[in-house]
Amino acid sequence: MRKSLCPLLLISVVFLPALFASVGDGRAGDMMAKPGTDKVVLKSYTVSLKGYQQTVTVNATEKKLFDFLSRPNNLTYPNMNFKEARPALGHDEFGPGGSIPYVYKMVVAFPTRMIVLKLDQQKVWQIQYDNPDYKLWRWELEPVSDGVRATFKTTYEVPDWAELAYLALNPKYWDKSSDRMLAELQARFDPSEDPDKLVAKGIRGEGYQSVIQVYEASVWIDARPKEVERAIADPNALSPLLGQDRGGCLSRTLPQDRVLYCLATMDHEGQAITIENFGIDHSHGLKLRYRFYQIALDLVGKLEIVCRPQRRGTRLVLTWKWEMPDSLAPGSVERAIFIARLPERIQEAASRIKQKAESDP
Amino acid sequence: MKKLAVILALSIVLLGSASDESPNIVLVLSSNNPRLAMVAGGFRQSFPGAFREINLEGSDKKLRDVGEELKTSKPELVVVVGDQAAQMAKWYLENVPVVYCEAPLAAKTFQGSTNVVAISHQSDPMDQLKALQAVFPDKKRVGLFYGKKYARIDSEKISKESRQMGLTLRINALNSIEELPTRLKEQTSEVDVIWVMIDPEVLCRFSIEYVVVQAISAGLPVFCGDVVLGESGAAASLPPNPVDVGVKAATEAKKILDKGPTRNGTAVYAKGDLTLNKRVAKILNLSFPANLEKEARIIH
Repeated sequence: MRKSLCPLLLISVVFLPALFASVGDGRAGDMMAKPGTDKVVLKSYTVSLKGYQQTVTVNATEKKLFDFLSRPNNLTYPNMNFKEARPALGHDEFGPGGSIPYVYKMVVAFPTRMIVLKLDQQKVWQIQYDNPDYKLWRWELEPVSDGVRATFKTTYEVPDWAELAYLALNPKYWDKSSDRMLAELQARFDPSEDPDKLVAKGIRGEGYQSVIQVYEASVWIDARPKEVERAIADPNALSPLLGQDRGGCLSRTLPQDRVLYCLATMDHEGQAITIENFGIDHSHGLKLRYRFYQIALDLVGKLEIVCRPQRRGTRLVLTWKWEMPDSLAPGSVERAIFIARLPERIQEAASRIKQKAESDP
Repeated sequence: MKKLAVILALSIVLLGSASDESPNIVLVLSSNNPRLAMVAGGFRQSFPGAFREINLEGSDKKLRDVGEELKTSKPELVVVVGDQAAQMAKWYLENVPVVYCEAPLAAKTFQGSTNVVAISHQSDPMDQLKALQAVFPDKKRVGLFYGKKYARIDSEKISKESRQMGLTLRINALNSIEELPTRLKEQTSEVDVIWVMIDPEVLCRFSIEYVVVQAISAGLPVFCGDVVLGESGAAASLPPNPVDVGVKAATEAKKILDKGPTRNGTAVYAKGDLTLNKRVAKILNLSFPANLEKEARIIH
């Protein structure tokens, strides 16, 4: 019995870890890799996205409504509770980049955070993160004769693990919460209206399903994670994706135990784009994680960079998620071209980081 | 004789009071969009009787107010132009016959409803197929994409016609938007042109830009019969002529008034206007036949 177990044990101890290691990152032979010889591997896939959209007319001036919506704790889902609103780091007062921790309850309470991005006088975008991974509220305001027409759009990623929970609880949960929130917004600026009656009389937004496109570039680098981290901080490394820094705080050195919430403006082929840096997260072992949201041409993208030690080197994974824009506005051809070049850009960024990390002493 | 005079006088009074009332046929426009105004123009030209015209001006408040009012006045027939007006009819006017047009979402809005006639927001698929071949004479492999649930497509008829035209048609009838990325990716290497039918759920405003992006990335032109995609990302399109949409709506309204709704569940198509997008063509390094450029509407 013991004799027959020995070969199995040997196989388990010696071969299985090696097998899993090579399956896990999609490449074999890292041990033999020489600097510069590994190629960037690009994967593309989609994840499920849910959305809701509705337009309501609010009896207010554009400025009044804009100011009101810029502080999201003024208006929330019925079961959402904002704890506090505070200015972002690097800002003296509440404004673009305002960071608001809040809690929402759906059976259990989820702590999360919201960032406010004011693009211009007619657009307020509120980005929520952590739960779920990708969630965005967008307000677009248009002055009309009887007030302001406010279009509210929300999109959120539904991770696989959460799909069943959503369905089991109430598949229309978020849609109904959004209907109610919009009714309360109308009633807030027009006391003659009653939110219950408004919901009953036809605030029924359009819920829809969509997908997020994901591009993932992965490469093994013959350098330690710290060296890769330095290469990522090089302004040229991410410029294929993010453009050139026009100002802001993206290049600021971040303390390890701290998350920095800030906005920077980048110049991407003549287009000004806003990027939020979610900083470095060392909470998952030796993983290094940056998060950016890019907003350009009404396009939301999210870049996550993960470095993890792998066989005397580092595995670098750049993941770019972008939401299919939900309209074909003027300029959409330019946007389409911008999106179409993303796979090429993400590969280029990964190559630059690899080259820089491996060439630095 | 006296009796006759009294009856005559009474009739005149009654007729007079009837003509003072609002007409019982209502045309409702969703907004001040110029295209919707052209549809209304076509309707005015062709509808033989009196009708009342209301513009919701894109306002949800006005939608509710008009809905409440029409719910009380119970019109004999309502012609709705655009999705917002269609929503109003669905929410407030149960059992009132409806003719809808220029409303890409209305197939979903009125799902399961009776007494509804649709003037399609796209031109006739057979006309689209012919236009596609005329615009892209060298492109023989066509990938057709549509949502199974709402698109009214006779795929057998289209397949047969395309075979006779010497085209290889690959039909992609999708159940959900989530099938789109995979199917599109599979097809981009196998077809020369992407043909898209817009519907409320799958090939809809939430996915058409994705189709455009993937097609442009693969160097493929998109063809469609819808005005929104036609003006933005498609290389060529055959959207319905808005005046003819109004004319068709008037014809269908008249038929309903005369005989009751007879074409329930089927779409009526207006004639198409060929539109060529030279901006997209330039990106794809395409050129259009010179004779078509003279006839078509050109987007620069």
